[in-house]
Amino acid sequence: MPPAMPQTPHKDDLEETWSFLEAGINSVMLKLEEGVDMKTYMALYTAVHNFCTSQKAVANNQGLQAHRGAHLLGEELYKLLGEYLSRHLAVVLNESKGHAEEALLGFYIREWTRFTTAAKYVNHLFSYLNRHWVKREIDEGKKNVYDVYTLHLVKWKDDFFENVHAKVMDAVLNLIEKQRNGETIEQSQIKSIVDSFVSLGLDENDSKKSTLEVYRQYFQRPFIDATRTYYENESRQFVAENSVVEYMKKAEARLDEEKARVGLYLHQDVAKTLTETCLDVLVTAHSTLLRDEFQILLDNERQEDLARMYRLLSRIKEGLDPLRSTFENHVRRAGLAAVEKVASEGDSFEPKLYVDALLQVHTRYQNLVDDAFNGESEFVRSLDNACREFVNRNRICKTATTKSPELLARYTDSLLKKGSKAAEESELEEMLVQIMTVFKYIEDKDVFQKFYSKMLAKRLVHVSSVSDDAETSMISKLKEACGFEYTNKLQRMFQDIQISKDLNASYKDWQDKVLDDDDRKRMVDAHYQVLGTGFWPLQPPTSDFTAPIEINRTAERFQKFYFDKHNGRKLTWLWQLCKGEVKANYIKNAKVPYTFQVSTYQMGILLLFNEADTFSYSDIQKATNLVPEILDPNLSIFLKAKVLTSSPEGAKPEPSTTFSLNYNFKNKKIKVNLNIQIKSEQKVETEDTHKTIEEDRKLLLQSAIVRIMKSRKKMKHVQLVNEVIQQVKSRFPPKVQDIKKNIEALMEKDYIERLDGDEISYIA
Amino acid sequence: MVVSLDHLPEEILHSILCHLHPRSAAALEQTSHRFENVTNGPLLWRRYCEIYYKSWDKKHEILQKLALPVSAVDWKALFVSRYHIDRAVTQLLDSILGSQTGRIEKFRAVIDYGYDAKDTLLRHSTVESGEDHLARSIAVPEWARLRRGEPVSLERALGAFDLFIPESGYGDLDEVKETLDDLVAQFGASRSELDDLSPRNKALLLASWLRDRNLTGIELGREYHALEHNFLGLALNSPGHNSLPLISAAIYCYVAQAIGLDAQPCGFPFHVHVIVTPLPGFDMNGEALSGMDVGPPMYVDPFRGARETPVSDLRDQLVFLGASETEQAAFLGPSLTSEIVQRCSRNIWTSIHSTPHPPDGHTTSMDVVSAKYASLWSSMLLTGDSRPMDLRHHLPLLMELFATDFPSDIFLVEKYIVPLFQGLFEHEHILESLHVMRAVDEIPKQVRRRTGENQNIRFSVGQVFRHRRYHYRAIITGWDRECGAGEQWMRRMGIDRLQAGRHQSFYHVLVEDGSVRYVAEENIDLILPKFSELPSSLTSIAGKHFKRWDEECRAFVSNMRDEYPDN
Amino acid sequence: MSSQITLTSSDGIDISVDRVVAERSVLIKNMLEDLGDSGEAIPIPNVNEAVLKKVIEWCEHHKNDPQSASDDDDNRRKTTDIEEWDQKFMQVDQEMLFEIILAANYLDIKALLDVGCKTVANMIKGKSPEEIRKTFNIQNDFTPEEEDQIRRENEWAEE
Repeated sequence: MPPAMPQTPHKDDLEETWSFLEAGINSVMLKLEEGVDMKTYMALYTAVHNFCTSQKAVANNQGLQAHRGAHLLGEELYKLLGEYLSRHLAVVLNESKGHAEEALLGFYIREWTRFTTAAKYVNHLFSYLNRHWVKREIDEGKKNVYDVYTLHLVKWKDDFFENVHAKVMDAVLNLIEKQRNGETIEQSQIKSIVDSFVSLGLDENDSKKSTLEVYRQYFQRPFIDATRTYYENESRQFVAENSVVEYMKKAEARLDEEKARVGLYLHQDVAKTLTETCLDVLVTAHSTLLRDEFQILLDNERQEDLARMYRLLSRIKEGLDPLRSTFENHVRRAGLAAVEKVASEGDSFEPKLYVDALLQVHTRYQNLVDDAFNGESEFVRSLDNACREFVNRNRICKTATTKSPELLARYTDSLLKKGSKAAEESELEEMLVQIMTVFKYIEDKDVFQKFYSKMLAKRLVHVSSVSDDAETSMISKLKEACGFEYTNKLQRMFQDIQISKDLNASYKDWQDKVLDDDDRKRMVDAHYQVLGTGFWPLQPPTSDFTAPIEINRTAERFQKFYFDKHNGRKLTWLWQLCKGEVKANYIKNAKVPYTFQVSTYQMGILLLFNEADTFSYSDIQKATNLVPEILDPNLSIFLKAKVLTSSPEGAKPEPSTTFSLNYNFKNKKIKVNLNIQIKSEQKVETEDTHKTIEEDRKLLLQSAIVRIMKSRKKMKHVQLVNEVIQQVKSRFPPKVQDIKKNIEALMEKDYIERLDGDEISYIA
Repeated sequence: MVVSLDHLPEEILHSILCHLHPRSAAALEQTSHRFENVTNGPLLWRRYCEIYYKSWDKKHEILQKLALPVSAVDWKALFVSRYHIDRAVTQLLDSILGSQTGRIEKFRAVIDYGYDAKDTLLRHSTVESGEDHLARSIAVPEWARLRRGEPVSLERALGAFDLFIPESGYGDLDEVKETLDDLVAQFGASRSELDDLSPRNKALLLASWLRDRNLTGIELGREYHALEHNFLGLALNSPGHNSLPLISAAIYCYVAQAIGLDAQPCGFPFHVHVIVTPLPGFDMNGEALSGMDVGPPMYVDPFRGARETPVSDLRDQLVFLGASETEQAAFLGPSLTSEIVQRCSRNIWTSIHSTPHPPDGHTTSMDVVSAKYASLWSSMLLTGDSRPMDLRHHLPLLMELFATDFPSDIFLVEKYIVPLFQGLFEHEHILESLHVMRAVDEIPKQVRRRTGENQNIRFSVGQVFRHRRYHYRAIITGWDRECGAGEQWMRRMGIDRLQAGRHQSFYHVLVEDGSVRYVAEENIDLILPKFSELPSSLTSIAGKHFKRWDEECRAFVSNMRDEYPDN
Repeated sequence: MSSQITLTSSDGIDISVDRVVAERSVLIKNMLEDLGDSGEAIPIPNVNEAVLKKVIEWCEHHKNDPQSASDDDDNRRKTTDIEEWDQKFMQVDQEMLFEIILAANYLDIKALLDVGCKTVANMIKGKSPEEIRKTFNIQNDFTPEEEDQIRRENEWAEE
């Protein structure tokens, strides 16, 4: 049988109403586990409602004309409720004094749960008060009036929390310290305390909102302080007893652990401060120690430890900066040492050896940056700085910075020439990519270009490229790195070769139509290449040459064909680059006649012997018109190969010598290559190349100056110099002195003039 | 016990009163002591003030009052004073409609109530442009304050342009601010971790947030110089939110400042950017600097979106344009609000003149005349005294517009334009023409009655007809017994070739294309449309001459009774 | 299917009603949340059978209405428009009207209280003080001097 409906108190009687309510609240606060029945619940709500709607106050107000305006009832109930809560909390506070440490936490949580659960009930029971009296007070702008639930929280904070928070926090911090020391603790207790502290953060201006102020002040602050102290002590001790490498492992583990702690039982709000504190104590405080270890780790290639150091120092402000210069120096020294090793083996090393040495150092540290330093752009920059240094300034370059590009170009040539060792095409491509890696660091890019185009010209003229694909691949790489202008001529050379192929084909058709059998017999079967003068790094022959009649006829015939097609063009025969094969039918004891591969000059000499067996030096010179600088070495080759014999025997080619055909020539091969490059030629060529570079640079500087002045019209001298440097530095690092010299030169040519105040003006 | 009204608790009576007009509250107050008490709660009267009057003149400092405890303000008295103003303004408006004489003075009286008149004006929005005039009388003083060097916020200075444009829908600068505050709140809500970001990231995040929501910049394929791209309020409210860089920058700056960034428009030529300066002692990444140095600022172009514009790019452009070092510094520094207003004014002028015939179907719905008027006002007020030639150049343009389209602005012209010409020879001319306008306004109109020789006039003022020959629709606004135009006009128009010649009644009419014509009676073919059948072009121009539409007579009701008492 | 609960009126009559319908009353809703539904009858000590039935009728009709959002909606307060069903519902004698209002206030049924207040407001609208006194049977307890003074204070409101 349910209990009878309790008699609700008389609505006008405050004392009676309150004592009825107090009894009800008491049972909610202290004996909620026994349950509240509906009738009591409704009776309590009704008592509050009835009191607030009683018109007692109207009677009081009557006659009080001065105080016109509506007046709502409820203030007394609100006050009494507040007093009740204070009394209750005084008792709770007193009881709390008997507890400490974990027991205190248990007590706090128990009482907090009881109190807030009751608050929800009471808030509903007093909802009529909330709806009208409290709302009105707040609307009217009264401070310190809250809805009934919030009133509970305010009372808890003022009457209880203020008195116990220090002790509670001590207990919490002790618990956390235990956990840091490796003990197992009751984490949920701390979580509950955190939740309670957070709930107590009330916004003064809006009771519906909450702030984290209470939590931050009473929980976060002591917690952070304790954390700092704990890790200060721990790290100091650990460093004293362990290696730096061990310490880094420890620090990293601790950082992870604290990060996890936030998720386990702390409020997310603490995460940032906690991390900052830990980093400060664990990393920043020991950063010098860590950095001192960096060189040692580099020396020993301890990649994993380097990565750890990077991770730790990257998280603190400017933590990595001092490492960068150490790293840069280290890489530079490694590069210099590698070059030193190559140089120590003497002057005549293969270009490949040099380039490989550079690449090896680069690759090693590129990998380190990627794997240990997360590919971080600043370290990449340090690596680049170091590489640029040792690529351009090392023992081998000591004489001139142009040595590196020259060697790189030679190495490239060796790869792209027929017979290179890189068999697989993909392997070749890979090596070209590596060449570009080094190329990127080269400062004198114009030098590379010069050598490269010379060698490309040779490969093309002599049809000795390993493949067209490889050639185009390299050119497009250079284009990508340096732009269209850089590779313009290279591409044009390539095009000329293609065009020449077509030209030969149509020449053949033409010949088929025009020539009769007789003509054909007298012709030499030949292939022609027509190369544009401006694009090829080729010089006209340094010697006159009277070509043998057979060659001459053939050449004239082609010339006729060509001029028919392209009226007004001029052809210069580059005899020094032509070559051919002759058959030696005169040799007696050969079953199959020998074939000699010869240059056109050589052909000119040899074909003379169709007329007689012996010629004097001057005969030959007269017949060929060759200068001694060319005639002599070629005769030497014939003598050395025993194609010719000299008289007197063993005599060198000189005006007094006569030469005879050797009918007893013998060789293991049927095909004998006599077209060998002469050593001295190569050296001269290299020197020439360097000379043309100086000349080209002068032109480049002058055209840059004119270009700039043309667009700006007027400029200060200093500014002009700076602009010029900007414009040409992608090709080579210009010297200020050279720029000034060229400015002077242009003034003399009246392109520009000097005005007052160090200003320069363009003369249109 | 019988329950009656008297038995209801205070809180219930309060909510009943909230549903009543204050007049009823006043009636209830007089019934008994109990109700006298109940109806005098200050909370009730504060509520009445909030519900019934949305616009408050500045002098009330209404926002501060609302923040005070309710008992600190006599809300009832305040309500009653507003109620009186409401009544007075209503009377003035009725009288303006009722008579064509003395309108200028009556307008002035309305406008003198300032914002307090606005609620009433809104209720009587049929009255010719009263509300628009009020809006302009709010806008102009903002620029005048800027001229005097008083601080005026950027959004107010630019929002003033919107107040000139009826289709902006703005009647009040606070509305522009509210719209912007909404954006601030939305942005704040979209990103909870805002405070953790460095100033640079905040600045970029904001730019991309605005751009992603299409709140800045111009949609693809739209005419860049379209007139509507020049107005801050319009850009905020229109669905496409299209705006020129200047307006995009202003929107950006407002939100940026609200989230704690020091963002200001930067007077870069051709394309306004935003310059964001770090707090003293910090750089844009939030890192502390030594001492209280000011770190380098960053540049953002909200028109284009979420990229930082490197200062080197800007410098390069300036070098390209040939700017000197000092000019560069000025172009790269923050702009004064007055400079931005002048720039906006020039932009509007450019828009008006660069797109005379809007191409590609994006027909502009903008009132070009109002926009031009706004541009003239702002540039005249903000052109320095040092450039009298510019002032002189603009004056005739402004005076012409003012006289034909905005005659009610006479007080604004007197108060703000006349002093600009103090000491210049134009001064007298302006005063003279203002005097003439006033005189015309004061003269009672000649009365035309339908008696005697006027008996045979067939049609009356307010009727709608279709022209027999040209087929346009028009409203009759006046009549003459016989053709009253000059001899020359009659000859040019071939009046004597009409069937009835010049000796028939002629009518002054208002045509649907906005023009005014003079039509012979024989060409009038009356139509008796329903209101719903009237073209909107006619109803929108009718307001100047007519009170309302009379559905029964199928004609407009004249407010020119003093001139045509018998219609 | 929603469960049924029983309400007991102040004069001891049990009325059975859908829980969703009863929960239009925030009081009942809160209580059922706090205590759970024990199956016991819920005593409604302040409302008699006649009024309670009327209130339930209203709740029944409005059981699918969305719960009203903010109670400070100016527009809602300014108008006294009442939907048709509610107007008919409120066509009761004055005493019943006030009883419904009091019950709605007690049971915390905001929308019903609102309809009630609007109904009363419509009865006051446009009336002179004397007409109001007559309508609601209000005793004039002013002295003639007081009445004169208060009339002058309110002259502004006269048309």
